[in-house]
Amino acid sequence: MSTVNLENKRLVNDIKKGQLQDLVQWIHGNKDKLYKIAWSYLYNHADIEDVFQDTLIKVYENIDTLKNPNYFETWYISILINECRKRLRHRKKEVLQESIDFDEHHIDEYNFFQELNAIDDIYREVIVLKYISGYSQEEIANILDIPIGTVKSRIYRGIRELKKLVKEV
Amino acid sequence: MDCNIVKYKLMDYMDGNLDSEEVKAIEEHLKTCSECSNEYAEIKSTIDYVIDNFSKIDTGKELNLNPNIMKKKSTGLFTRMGLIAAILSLMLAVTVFATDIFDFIKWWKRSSERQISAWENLIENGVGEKLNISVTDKDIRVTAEGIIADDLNTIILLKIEDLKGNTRFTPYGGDNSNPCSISVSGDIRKVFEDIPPLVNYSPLYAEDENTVKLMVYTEPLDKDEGMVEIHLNKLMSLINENEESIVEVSGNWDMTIPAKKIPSKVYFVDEEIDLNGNELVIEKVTIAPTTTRIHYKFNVYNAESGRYIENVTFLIKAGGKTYARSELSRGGSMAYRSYGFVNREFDIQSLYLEDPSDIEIIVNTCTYTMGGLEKYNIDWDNLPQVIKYQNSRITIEGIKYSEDSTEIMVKEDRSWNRKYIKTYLYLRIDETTYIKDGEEDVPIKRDYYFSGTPLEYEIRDSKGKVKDLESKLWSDEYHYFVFRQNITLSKEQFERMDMNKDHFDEYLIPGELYIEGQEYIEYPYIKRNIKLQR
Repeated sequence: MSTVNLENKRLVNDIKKGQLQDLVQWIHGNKDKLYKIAWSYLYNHADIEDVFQDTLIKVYENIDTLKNPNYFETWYISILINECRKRLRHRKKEVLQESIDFDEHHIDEYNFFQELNAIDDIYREVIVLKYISGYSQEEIANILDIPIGTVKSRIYRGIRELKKLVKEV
Repeated sequence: MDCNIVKYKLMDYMDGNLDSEEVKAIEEHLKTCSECSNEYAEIKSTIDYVIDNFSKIDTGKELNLNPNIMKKKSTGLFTRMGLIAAILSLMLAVTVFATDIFDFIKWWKRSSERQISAWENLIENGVGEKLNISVTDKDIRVTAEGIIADDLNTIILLKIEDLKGNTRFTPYGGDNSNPCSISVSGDIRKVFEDIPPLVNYSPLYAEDENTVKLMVYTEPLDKDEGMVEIHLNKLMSLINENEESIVEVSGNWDMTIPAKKIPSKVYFVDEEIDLNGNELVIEKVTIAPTTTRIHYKFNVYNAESGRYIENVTFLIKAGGKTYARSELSRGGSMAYRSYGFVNREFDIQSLYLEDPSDIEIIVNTCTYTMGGLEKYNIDWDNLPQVIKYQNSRITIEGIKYSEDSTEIMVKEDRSWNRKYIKTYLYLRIDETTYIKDGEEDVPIKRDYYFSGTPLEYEIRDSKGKVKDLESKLWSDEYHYFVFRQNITLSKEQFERMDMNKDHFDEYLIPGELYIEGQEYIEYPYIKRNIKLQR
């Protein structure tokens, strides 16, 4: 039996037992990172909160499918992303724009997210995972379940796309 | 170096993923090639721009997550610890139906007695406060009868009486969209700023048919003396004819209770124990009114024996009496972790009144997992199929196959001297889908695991004797020996997991069975005499 990250092993065991309090704590402990990922898809606190709750349930229901606790974090994020995508599919673009709160510095933010939104999903998510949440290319490959070469090329292409847009501003 | 290669490697260069020679070559190139150095500068400023903008996101907003989603999952699945926890807490959102009322009451009464007498023993000896604070709403009276607060727990005993009818009411346990109906606030320690203090409760038996005693457990006070606010806004009937006859009553039974924290005694022990090659250290013993807490750590994995320790339980002997797992406190779930060693806590019955100077700590049980991953081809045409794993025989007895689901039935050795408790079995489905990446299709690989659900089992004690839970209360020496498990694959499940519909039919015909480890129990009964000195 290979050695496993004990913290994760315990966390996974707790989830299997239905002790989700520890998972909630883990989420809070990683909130900054996780919240930004969700934000990059949803831009709306209420939706983000819902998605976190849905993810909680998904994690609990599917915890048996995770065999190696070492990958808990990447596994969790892949579920989170999946839930974000699902929610996006159910949401119309108009609603999205209305729901953003506008106050002074939100305008900037909004422009920025429009730019970020303008580039393809597949590029955007690698950029967020890499530069915002700080995952390595290998971890991103795990989260998104794509080859590492693809991660590389997507980051590069994504940055170039974004560069074009930023230049226009 | 060629410009294309440099561009290709720029990301890795920025990430620091290149060796020193490549770094050198790229730096040289950037000095001389304006096109590439422009590209580099632009990429860098774009990344800075992204990072800068993301830092503006307000992640400080409160994230309210409800961990009480137990209802979602079927109760057919059990894990041993889950069961112990469930039996101890009498299941948060329990509703008992007519068919099991008789056995339930019998068992409930017995298990309640343990908790009530532990509580009364303390209160009668002047530990904690007797109270008589009550609130009545919707013809239901809730009375706070007492509180015991110490460094480890705050425990409140409530009485819930149906004044007009004859119903036993309990709080509403919560589901996906509604939180549990009981919560606490006030001067209670919060583990996290933005989540309310943890609350747990167990309904306890009372003779009167309209009464339930409710023990409410929460975190310790955050000061020596303070107020505990209890919020209770929904009650439901505990015992019901059927699903439809559940009575729910919404109301307001909030109350504020004064509390005083009773100091505990902490003893540093630092006793090392060799647990068949794994090191176990008892670090501290805390003697508080509500419980005696053993703080310990152990080395989880032992490469030599291949053992991976899951769980350890203890007993304490003092003054000729044996103290077992606490009925009033459940330590351990909040344990912090460290590398190589896990830190845990184990709560034993209170020694507060006895206040002994010598105790004997006994390592009572230890469960561990052993055995690596093995893969077996399922021989569909020649069932039953016998598989050898470690030293045990595992039989694929049969397969129930239908259009929408497949059930694989696995039988295990039933002999009385079987060494292991449970085998971890699963089926695995690998799925490859393709998504567009620019012009190319990139494959996405996912794997899904389906584990065994125990169907037949026996509860055995340390001597291998079969125990009947209806006549006995749970003890740490008991374990579920699983004889039969099944693994179910169903289209409904596949759909829930967002798997590829085109392959559902073939997924229902699994080719391989995976076995990864077996759980064992041993009874080390290692004793250590410990002098309790401050």
